[in-house]
Amino acid sequence: MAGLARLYLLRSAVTWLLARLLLAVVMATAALLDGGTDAGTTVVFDAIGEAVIVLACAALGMVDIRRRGERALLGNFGVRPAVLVAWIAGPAVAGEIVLALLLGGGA
Amino acid sequence: MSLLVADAVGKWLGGRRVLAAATLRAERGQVRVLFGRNGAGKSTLLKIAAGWIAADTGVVHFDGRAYLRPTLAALARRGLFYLPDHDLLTSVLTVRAQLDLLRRRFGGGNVDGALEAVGIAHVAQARPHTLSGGELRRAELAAVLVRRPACLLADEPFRGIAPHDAEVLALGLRRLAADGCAVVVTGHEVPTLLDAADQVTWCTGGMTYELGPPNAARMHDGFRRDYLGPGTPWRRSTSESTPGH
Repeated sequence: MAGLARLYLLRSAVTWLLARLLLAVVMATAALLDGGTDAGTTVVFDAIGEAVIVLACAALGMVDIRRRGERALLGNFGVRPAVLVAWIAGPAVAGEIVLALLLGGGA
Repeated sequence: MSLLVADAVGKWLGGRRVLAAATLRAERGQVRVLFGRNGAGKSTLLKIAAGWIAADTGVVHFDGRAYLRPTLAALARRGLFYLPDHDLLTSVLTVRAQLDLLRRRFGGGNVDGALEAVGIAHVAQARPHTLSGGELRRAELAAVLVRRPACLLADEPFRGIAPHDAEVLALGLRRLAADGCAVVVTGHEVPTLLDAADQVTWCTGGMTYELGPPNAARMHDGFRRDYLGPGTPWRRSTSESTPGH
């Protein structure tokens, strides 16, 4: 199942990265409009904020799987729902932990 | 003894009772065709048997185990394969890549052999969204051949395909049954399906009726009147005996 796992982990990592980039752009724009200058606040959140990002990425991943009609294929591969959740939320969790360690956040 | 039995299944959908006490069986080495009018509940019954959706009442027995809340993943790990009434394969990977994944996951059969058996070796490196409907159904059949399931539940696999593709598909289903697979298939392509069938089940009014072999089904008064229609040319194709109903 490694090949299938790699596919979904990669897709989830891209989703998290794009979500994070979008969030950073929005936050930076808001900070600029507000007259703020601290760039760090655009990427660092508290634990609740990080959890929300992870949940949002997981939800996006599930919607994407439904949109692509891949649920039956995954079922036929015997992929348990818990394993699927790990595949689509794992990269976001890992990314948030890495960001928190590097920049100092809530994780 | 049946490999799969979805027993006394009841299901409400959108405030309507689709299934009251329907039963579906799949026997090793046999092709069972599930007929029924649109909205009769045959797809719902197949989905419940596959663990795709949950039944309100009833139980699914598969390979000696009883499941009150089966999931497709759990049944698939024990040898079930479900072909839904929409495209199965993802467009992210090539056909060959997906067949390779199946082979590695389940220690399945020969990928090249399966592709050649269904006549799509030339599009093995293509992604499914570039294939025609007939090629897609063949690719799904190739996936089944690679998986080598103990039980196949196929929901309208003959939908929208040319007669030649239908012939390949029917031969594939017969080949699976010959290898010991328990096959259940739905659809409205009556001549093709009756030719491929060993047993016929009729789903109507929330119930199911086992009509026996195709020849017996053709002669069943209610089935003829309510499903086949009174003037159907496939009412009797050979000089079979005519069991009473």
